[in-house]
Amino acid sequence: MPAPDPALLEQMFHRMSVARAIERLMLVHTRERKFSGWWHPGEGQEAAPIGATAALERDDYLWYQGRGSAWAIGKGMAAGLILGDLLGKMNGATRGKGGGVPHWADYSIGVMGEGATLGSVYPLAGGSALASRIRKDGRVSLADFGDGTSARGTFHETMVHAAAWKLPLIYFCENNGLLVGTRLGEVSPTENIADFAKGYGIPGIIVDGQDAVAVYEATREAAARARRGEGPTLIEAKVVRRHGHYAGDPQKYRADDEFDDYRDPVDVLAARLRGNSAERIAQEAEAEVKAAYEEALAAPEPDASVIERDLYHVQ
Amino acid sequence: MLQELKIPRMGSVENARLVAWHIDEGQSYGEGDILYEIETDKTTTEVEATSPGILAQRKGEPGDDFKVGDCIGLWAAPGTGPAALRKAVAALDGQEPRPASAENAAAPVKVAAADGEAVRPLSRTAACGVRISPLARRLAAQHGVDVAGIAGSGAYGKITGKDVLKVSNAAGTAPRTIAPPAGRVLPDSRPADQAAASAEGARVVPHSLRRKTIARRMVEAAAVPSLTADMEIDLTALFAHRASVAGKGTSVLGLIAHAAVSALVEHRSLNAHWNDEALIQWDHVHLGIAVDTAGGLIVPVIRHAERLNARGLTEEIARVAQAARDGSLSSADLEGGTFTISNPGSVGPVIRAEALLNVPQVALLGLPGIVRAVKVVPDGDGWATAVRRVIRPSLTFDHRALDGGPVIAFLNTLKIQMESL
Amino acid sequence: MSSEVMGYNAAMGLGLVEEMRRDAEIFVLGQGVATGGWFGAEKGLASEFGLDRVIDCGISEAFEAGLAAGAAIVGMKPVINMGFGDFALIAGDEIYHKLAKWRYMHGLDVPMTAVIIFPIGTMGGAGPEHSSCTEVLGMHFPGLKVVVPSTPEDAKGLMKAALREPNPVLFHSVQGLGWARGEVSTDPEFIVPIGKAATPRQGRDLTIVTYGSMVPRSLEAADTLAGEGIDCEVIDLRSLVPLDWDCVLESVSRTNRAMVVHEAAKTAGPGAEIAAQIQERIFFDLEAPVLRVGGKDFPLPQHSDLEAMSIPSVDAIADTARRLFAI
Repeated sequence: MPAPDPALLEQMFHRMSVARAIERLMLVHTRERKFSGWWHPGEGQEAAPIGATAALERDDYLWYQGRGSAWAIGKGMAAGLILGDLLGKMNGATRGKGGGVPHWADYSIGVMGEGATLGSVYPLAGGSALASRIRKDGRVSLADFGDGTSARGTFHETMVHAAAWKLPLIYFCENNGLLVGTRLGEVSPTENIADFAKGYGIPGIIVDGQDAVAVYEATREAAARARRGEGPTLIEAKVVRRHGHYAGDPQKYRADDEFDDYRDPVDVLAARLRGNSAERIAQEAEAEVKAAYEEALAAPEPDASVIERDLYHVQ
Repeated sequence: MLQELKIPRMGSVENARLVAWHIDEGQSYGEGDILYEIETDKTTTEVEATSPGILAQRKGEPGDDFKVGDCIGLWAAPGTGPAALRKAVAALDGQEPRPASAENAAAPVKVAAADGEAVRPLSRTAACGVRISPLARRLAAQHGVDVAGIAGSGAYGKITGKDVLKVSNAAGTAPRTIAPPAGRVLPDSRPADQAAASAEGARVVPHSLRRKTIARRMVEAAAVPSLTADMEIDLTALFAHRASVAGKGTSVLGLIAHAAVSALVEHRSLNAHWNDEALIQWDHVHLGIAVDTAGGLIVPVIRHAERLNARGLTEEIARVAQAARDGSLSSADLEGGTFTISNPGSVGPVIRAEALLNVPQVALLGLPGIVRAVKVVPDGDGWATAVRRVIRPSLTFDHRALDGGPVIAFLNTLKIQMESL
Repeated sequence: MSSEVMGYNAAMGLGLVEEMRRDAEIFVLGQGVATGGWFGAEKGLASEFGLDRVIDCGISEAFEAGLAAGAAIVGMKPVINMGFGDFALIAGDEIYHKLAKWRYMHGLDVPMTAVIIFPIGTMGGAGPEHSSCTEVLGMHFPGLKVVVPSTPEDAKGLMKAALREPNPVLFHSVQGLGWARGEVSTDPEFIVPIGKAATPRQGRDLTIVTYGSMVPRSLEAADTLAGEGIDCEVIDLRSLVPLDWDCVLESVSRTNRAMVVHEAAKTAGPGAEIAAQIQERIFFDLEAPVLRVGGKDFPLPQHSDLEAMSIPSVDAIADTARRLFAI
């Protein structure tokens, strides 16, 4: 599987930098403005979403669950929609209905959304994958999830059928080893979620989740396999949760030496770029996010009419 | 058996002056019937009965002043016979000993009414309230039927709708609409003039209470030393905004109202009430929208208009206007306005929209029709003429409260907002 | 227009077949659907439309309903048979969150067609976890439409309407009526609009508001009462969301008396909402309080005699109607 070409690498780095800038900004925003919404930081976990989304086509279906904003940004969503939403403004993607547990969706670029009952996107991704099989449209569905939700019944229910029917589905696990404060090993028979693949007779791939290019290559392979009609793949990206479960989590449950070997995904990807373009791209991304943030601050708050919109569609 | 009729709470009102009684002593009324009319510092209000009853005694005459919560009269349960009523009132006045312990009240008594007609003995249930279905209650009120005399055909003597209609048909009473009170002949109407007018081939339209209220308030407003300032506003930007995605769902009125509300937040002296002691500048904008209805001018109030965006305001205006037209406004919808917009331009192409103030408010914005006008507009370094859609709003203000300065400043803000949307 | 006598499940199946012929985006998934379905409604589908569009699955209700949501989000029109309405509770998150809320919480105004078949109610000894009436849940969670046909023709017409509806529909097929037969229009454009009630019997004295399995019983009770001089109007709601309030209120404002009859448990059943709204909205048109007749507030026993005693009988309906005239 070829490595991403230089242009794609730059795009990946740009999107990762946008996601990182949003992270930084949200931490400040939460602290300084006593932000009442929720923010689940994803700093340090950007490589998996950026690498995976870079390997998907524009119209492939992404069902995300991840921390931060990198899944939506990676798939091509504008920073303004995301910041508008985090601040609960009318210029956000959901105009005050989504936010902390993000519900950003843009079907035109395959950002299908997130369920706030975590681990709930397995059967939804199964549904879009089945739709692709019926329509023979060549699209791939990716269900992103955290290690904690591998305990859900629908993890099994969906993969049993997807494997039996050879659906174009990728299970993508971001394994940071923590369920809020519980260690995965205490509630799971294996530390490797990829081990579950054996039971379904599908490939289970473990990949370095701090390296966007490694993730890209693994996802590219799984997507190609899905498009060839060979069925689902389970990818497990080993990632590091750099921050608390939520912004402000004191994290008393973490060890002092836990971050000794920490590699920041931004540095890892920057090292792969040509010349010294990394600094320029990061600055551009920061400016872009700052402008979007200012715009979001100035945007109007949603009014009561939002409540009664979008319940039913009228033809 | 007599209960107090208290002046109900109406928003922040404390003082009330009795304007007129609509029910005579001894007369029975249904739920929703107008009992009396009072005037407060804000408005004139018709007070409706919250349950059916008989007015036993008036405790005040027109012109008397009361506080909210004061007793303005006494009432008795429906079905109380005239004699029993007199007896109870007399007892209260100390002329006769109190009658009827519970046992006495329960015992069937035959009493004679003033006109000598026999009154049906009351059962124990009837003595503490007639057993009557909700439908029959409504029909009795509509047909003006006194249910006290009806022998119910329903279970345990319950009066049913059919029973009421039977009595009503026999008496030949026609149903009347309980609310609104339009068409009611007022105590001070002058039948002689009306008869003369009819003879000459004119149609006599008795004043509705609303018309009378409007008339009185207009006279009050005309006594205020007010002035009107006009300004021309170019609507090119406003129409462009409306056509854009951001302007989706907004009306022209909604956008102007939104600009006016924003300007009021900045120029609070115009968002105020005048009284002889002080000018009360409000933090909130409760926006009055003058609506022309079949029953006359009415000004429903959009509360906290400053919290709404243009689309929200558009929807609110449409809602209150509709409610004004179908008569479903509540008293809360009419109270507490801090500023009023009058929009005669929506009815026809008037060129100037000066209006009388909605006192105690100190300012009112009148919107005439939108017209196309030749405007001198910047063109490169020089000037050119262009045909633009413009509106020339009139800002009428209470000169006791405001001098020209703040008014012009307000209009400037309004103009800048609307021209740079 | 031509019609044919057929059974309730067969009519529902016919509606499905006709719509599958005109719309390639419709597919059916459930346990045993490819072999004809548990109650025969899906008979013949697999041979006509192939196993790509008529799909058997394992015992996995949450997956089935979640799959329906996912497929509907990407524009397909899934029809999922839950086998028993009781089993749909296993898929609570998928039905009452994902299907009902997905568009709303993502701020999207887009079509989303999905039909989830809930076979509900008693069928003669199926036991406590195969006989519940759970339709009230669809009324309580905004975002879903809820239908309960009581005749073969409505079963067909509502199935077709549901498949042309841009919102998820909980389609409650009444198990006790599975073998009921009746005239069914064979016009492929025959539709029963969602949200429109029917009035199978007109009357002047009392409105019986009902739906589903209790429609035939209410009509039978109305016949009995007619002999006693009580002239009942019977309204078959057919849809619970949206509910045809215009029809209900217009009728009750004429008859001035109302009662609600359903098989679902009485406490907090659909009748509670219907009675409350009638009283809130047209109190002064009533001669008497609105009464309810519903199933007992107990799980349904398996013994078919005990089961029969647990749901409203024709006599219980007639007795309640008489009470309305004695209040």
